[in-house]
Amino acid sequence: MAGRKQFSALGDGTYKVKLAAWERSLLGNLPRQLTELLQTEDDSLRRVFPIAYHSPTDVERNAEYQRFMREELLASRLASAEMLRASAEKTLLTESELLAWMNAMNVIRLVLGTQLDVSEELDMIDDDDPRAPVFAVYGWLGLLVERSVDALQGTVADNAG
Amino acid sequence: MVIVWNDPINLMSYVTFVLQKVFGYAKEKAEGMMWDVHTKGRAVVSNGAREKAEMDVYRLHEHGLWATMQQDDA
Repeated sequence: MAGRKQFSALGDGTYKVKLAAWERSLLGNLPRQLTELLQTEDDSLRRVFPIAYHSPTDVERNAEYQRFMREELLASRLASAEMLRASAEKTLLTESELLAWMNAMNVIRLVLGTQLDVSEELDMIDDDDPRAPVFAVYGWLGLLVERSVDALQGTVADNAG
Repeated sequence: MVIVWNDPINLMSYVTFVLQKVFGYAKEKAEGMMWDVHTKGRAVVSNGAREKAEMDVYRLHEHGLWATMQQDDA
């Protein structure tokens, strides 16, 4: 399994997807849960809708940023989640679909990582820990994000070459 | 200027990819910035007027990075 390529660029702007049935089923279900959560003010969303100004004196500017951008950010999150849900069973994805997968999977990781209180020190959890199942999903999504980044390498500029 | 902060959730390869995608940076440059974020806790990833900085921050937020902006002379 370690060397398995979940996403392969076919070179014509499409991407082949190799996933197990249980993986597709999870990818179809997680966006529904995310979509519901996104409509709330849940504290685990703090990384999903971050502040834009670091300085505590910039309260006013932050409020302004939130006023203008939060709705747009929410719409973008919802669109990616819906695209992932709708294409979870597909074996061939377009570039925009794979980008949406990557985005949505990463947003779900942000939520799960916040709920798990993940830190640089916490990268393993004992099997009998109550958080183990969620941590397993978090880790699995990390692998898929990594593999989607690999597959999408050809779409970003690389002037260094 | 726009700053990306270290966070324990986003993967290093993902952060590099987002910097390439959002700013069009070469891989080497994006990797250098990612490495600064990881080892020094933060990196300045772009500069510019407030409107441009806000758009940059928004696009980084859209990709789930922890980005903020501040005035250069602050």
